[in-house]
Amino acid sequence: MTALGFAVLVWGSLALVAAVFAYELLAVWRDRSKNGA
Amino acid sequence: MVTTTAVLGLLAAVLVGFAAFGAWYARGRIETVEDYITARDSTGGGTLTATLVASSMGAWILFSPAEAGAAFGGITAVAGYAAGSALALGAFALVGPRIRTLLPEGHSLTEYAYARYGPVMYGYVLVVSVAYMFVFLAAEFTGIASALSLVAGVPGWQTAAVVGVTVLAYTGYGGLRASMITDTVQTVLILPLLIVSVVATLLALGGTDAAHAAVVDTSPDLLALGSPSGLEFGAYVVVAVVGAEMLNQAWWQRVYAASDQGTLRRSFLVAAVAVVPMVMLAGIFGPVAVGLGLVEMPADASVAFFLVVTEVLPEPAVVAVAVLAVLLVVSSADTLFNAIASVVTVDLPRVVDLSDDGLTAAARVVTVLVAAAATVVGAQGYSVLTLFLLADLLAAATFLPLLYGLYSARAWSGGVAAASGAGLLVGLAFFPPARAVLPLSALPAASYFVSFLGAAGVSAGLAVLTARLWNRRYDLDRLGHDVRRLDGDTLADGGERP
Repeated sequence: MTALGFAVLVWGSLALVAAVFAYELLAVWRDRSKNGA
Repeated sequence: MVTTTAVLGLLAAVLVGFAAFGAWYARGRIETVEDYITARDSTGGGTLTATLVASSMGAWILFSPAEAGAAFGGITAVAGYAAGSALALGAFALVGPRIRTLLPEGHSLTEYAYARYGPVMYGYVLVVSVAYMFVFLAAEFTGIASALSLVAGVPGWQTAAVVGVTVLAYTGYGGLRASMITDTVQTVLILPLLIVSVVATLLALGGTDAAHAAVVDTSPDLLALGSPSGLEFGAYVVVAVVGAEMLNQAWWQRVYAASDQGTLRRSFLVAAVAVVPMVMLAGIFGPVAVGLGLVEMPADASVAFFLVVTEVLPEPAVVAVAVLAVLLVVSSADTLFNAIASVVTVDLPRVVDLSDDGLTAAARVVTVLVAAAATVVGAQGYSVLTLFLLADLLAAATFLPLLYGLYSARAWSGGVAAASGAGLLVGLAFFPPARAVLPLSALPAASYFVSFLGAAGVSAGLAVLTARLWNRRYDLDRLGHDVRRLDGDTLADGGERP
């Protein structure tokens, strides 16, 4: 694996974890709004 | 080194906070044993996805993927771990709706095994499932005890005791509902902590280029995509992880906890996607540890992640990593406490006549016993790797025949029991630790690859073959009538309990 491939793997994984985190926050917020309605 | 008292104090504060929150949330929500172990149709997509991510991502992600990356095939082996974890959750996106359709009032995989295949397969599945879950739990406690000992010198028994008691406090009281709500908060903390830990460590190392260069200088093979050893490791890890997780009661509970089938499918799929980068990020620390010369002996590989972190990060950041590790353990431990308790509780009515309150009390007693056992075992610092592999092998020989019964009316008890038994024999014949005690030197060399793929392949093939040869018929609709709620409530469509 090249240095570029390694960087893409690491930063891509970090970006994906960040995206999952954002999704989680939104989904939990939506669950709470739905239950509260 | 970070002071022991500071880490232990922080650990206790975090865990007491979770215990209070879990107990507060569960207050007034546990009216029947169904609430305690199933939380049926109650959980929306956000909470369900969070509990799936938190429950599957135990502290093992800070140990095993990095160890695989350092010692068993580099980045390809890490990818095998990631694929296995994702496929297991993805499989439930397919199997879960089928389980809910055929057993709408079910609770556990063991009651499915009993209803579908009878007492022999039930007993076998019960042993395999509980063994796997308990070894998983013991490994989590052992892992966090060794991690905190490494980073802050905390004695293993103190770590195990603090984790065991506080998790028991809210799981024993609030059951599955407390476990899932705390999982949600834990996920929201785990994900950013993982990002911060990885970014801080990489920056301290000088960036990804510097980390890459360190590995290339010493062990470039660890970064080779598709290395033979990595592919072999990745292949059997996929079978081992998927097989074991299909027999993990925690996922069967969450199949029923989902508010509907769409939520179930979506949450398991999102969780499957989420675990891949998490495992990859933790796993790259294995090759990096080798590149930095931190893995001096084989045992070092299992703590490669922590070796890198303690080498390059300042003390406050190491404490943040310790908190991440604790959160990972707690999120899995509460899940497993309740999962093991639920398996036992669901089966109790077959042997003892208990009221609903009696069943709830029994579930709590089992939770206490499981917590006590996990704490004691975790404090000893045993190596549970061989037991883990053996539990995985048992599961690999079992899961396909077991699940085949959800789809084939021709699958039958004798056929699947024989298939699982034959698969296990093949697996054991090639299982490296078994060669030390079994007189099988005439066979080709033992390997985990042959062992796990042989166990899964033979068991699946024989299950199908016996089903076709005997051509028996089972009415799959019977499952929905044979498996009923524990609290005496009637079916949503108006049916009544017999």
